[in-house]
Amino acid sequence: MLSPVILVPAILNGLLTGAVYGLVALGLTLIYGVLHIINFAHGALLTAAMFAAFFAHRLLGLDPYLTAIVLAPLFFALGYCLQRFVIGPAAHGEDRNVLLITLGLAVVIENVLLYAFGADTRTLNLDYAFNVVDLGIAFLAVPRVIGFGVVLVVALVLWLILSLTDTGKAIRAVAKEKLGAELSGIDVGHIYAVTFGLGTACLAIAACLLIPTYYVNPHVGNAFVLIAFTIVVLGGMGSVTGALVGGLFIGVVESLSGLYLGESLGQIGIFVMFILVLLFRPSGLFGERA
Amino acid sequence: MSHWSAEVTRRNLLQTTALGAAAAATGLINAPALVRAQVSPVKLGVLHPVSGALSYSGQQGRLGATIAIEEINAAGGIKALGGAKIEPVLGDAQSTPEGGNAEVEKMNSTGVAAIVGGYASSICLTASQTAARYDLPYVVDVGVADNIVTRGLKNTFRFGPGFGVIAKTALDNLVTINDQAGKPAKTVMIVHEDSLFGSGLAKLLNAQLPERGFQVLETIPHPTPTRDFNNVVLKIKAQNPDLVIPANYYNEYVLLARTMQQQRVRQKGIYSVLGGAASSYKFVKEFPEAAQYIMDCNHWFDPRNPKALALKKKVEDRGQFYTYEGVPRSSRRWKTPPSRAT
Repeated sequence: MLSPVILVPAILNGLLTGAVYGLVALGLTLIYGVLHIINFAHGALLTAAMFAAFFAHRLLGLDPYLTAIVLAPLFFALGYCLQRFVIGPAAHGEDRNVLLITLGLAVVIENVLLYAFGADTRTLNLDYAFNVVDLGIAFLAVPRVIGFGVVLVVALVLWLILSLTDTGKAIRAVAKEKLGAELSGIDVGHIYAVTFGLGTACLAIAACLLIPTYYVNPHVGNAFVLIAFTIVVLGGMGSVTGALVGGLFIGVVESLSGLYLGESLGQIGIFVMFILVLLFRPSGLFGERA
Repeated sequence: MSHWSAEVTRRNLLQTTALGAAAAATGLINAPALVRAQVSPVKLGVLHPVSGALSYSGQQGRLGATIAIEEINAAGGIKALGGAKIEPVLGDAQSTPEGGNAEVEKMNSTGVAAIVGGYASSICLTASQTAARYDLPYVVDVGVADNIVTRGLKNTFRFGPGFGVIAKTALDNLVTINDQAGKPAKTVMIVHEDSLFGSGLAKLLNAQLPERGFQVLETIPHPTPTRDFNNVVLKIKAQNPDLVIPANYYNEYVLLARTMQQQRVRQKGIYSVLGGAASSYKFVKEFPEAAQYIMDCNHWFDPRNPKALALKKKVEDRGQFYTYEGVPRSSRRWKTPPSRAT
């Protein structure tokens, strides 16, 4: 059972899937790192983005990868408005209010989707979905390879934005010292909303990468967001690098535990990792020690 | 090899359609209605998983049931009840046993005389149990698990064989085919979905395959829905069995076959017992390459029965595929035919 014939493809598949997990986690960790809130609506927003990508193809014939270019700015705007006009004002500066509001948003979004589209599980049949890249030792599905590449590009772009632009510097300043940033003339409300928008835009791209090989139904986001929470904890709360590395790692863990424990038990590996990290390195791999 | 080598003797319980059967059951149980009102319509619960993971099969089942009801009504309704029309009460089991239960409760409160449908074994098992509480006749449309009708529930009827008979027939025919070909197949891997239908069937196959000289290398369960069969296919690749026997529902069957094709894993054959997709024109038409070298033993219509052919045309005229979920029981046969020619 340990022959490289199955081990290598399983690990490679895990890495490819893990990259997209990483992107979902990236959005979550970014929002946590700056706003210091856990965004419970993350999964529901991912589901909404997947529905958007699905119907963009079904109704407009748009390829999911093209949809990403349109959907990312749209979801950025959506995230911006949600934080600026809903979450921010309703929170009254209390973190526990934010938890309830995002949880409430998740319930509303999921049920609106359920009402509009029913509980059906839908899939796209794309011509290239089953094309493979032949590496000799493994056949890799083309959509996953594309997904992997796109995630790396998005992570790089995000890193450049954070380190080079003024907005990026402001985001990092707010993350480090909110009061100090405010005193230096940074509009914290605006930066919060921009960060929330960036996190949501990550979801839109992740959704477009997922839809060629995955299915969509009103609850699909929950599966990813549980994994994303694990990744954020593993990588370190608020760490961008941690989210990516954690995503790749969890992808491989899931793939291997699926291989050896069976499909029905495959996710056990992920949650065992979650418990181990909490026990032995609660600050995560790249997190600052508390 | 004859195209129809494995015809099981049909049960001659009823020579009408399944819905006719349901109507007959309705007529029996609801006899007092005859006295009260000669022609008031008879409400019939039509329960299928039309949303969720099994939605395709559920919608096909619903289509079959509604066409049957239309035909019965057009032919003058239920004669024993003075021409009473059947009024379908459609229900969505949402692809879960709990969903099925909730619909039975709802149907009971709307006053249905009987319920037909269920599709998945796990849904049929619980829905018929709930129906039994209200003494509602329940006619299983597909649900093949044997214990659905062997539990001693007096309200539950099924007009097709269960998977015990089907597995036996399928394996007897597998032996015949294999012997005639010079016994090329010796090892088998079973891939099954992990609810009542798949696990029950896998258990039967695990018991019966060794008796017939086949070695079962591994039995791999997976949940419904599953959207990634890469690991399963890698395992198949590593063990390299002569045959793969899948026992799962439509989406997963298609995905498994397509992933095998994608990963260039080719066994001597895929021989499925009640394979959810292998006997579907939809699968063969949409993914002909993935459907190569697949044989299936499943519910099928009698291609020599003009009624069945007329129904097939009717379904196709509606832009749908004629699949086993909607095939009336009287025009049904059992086949071990290739979904692609051998």
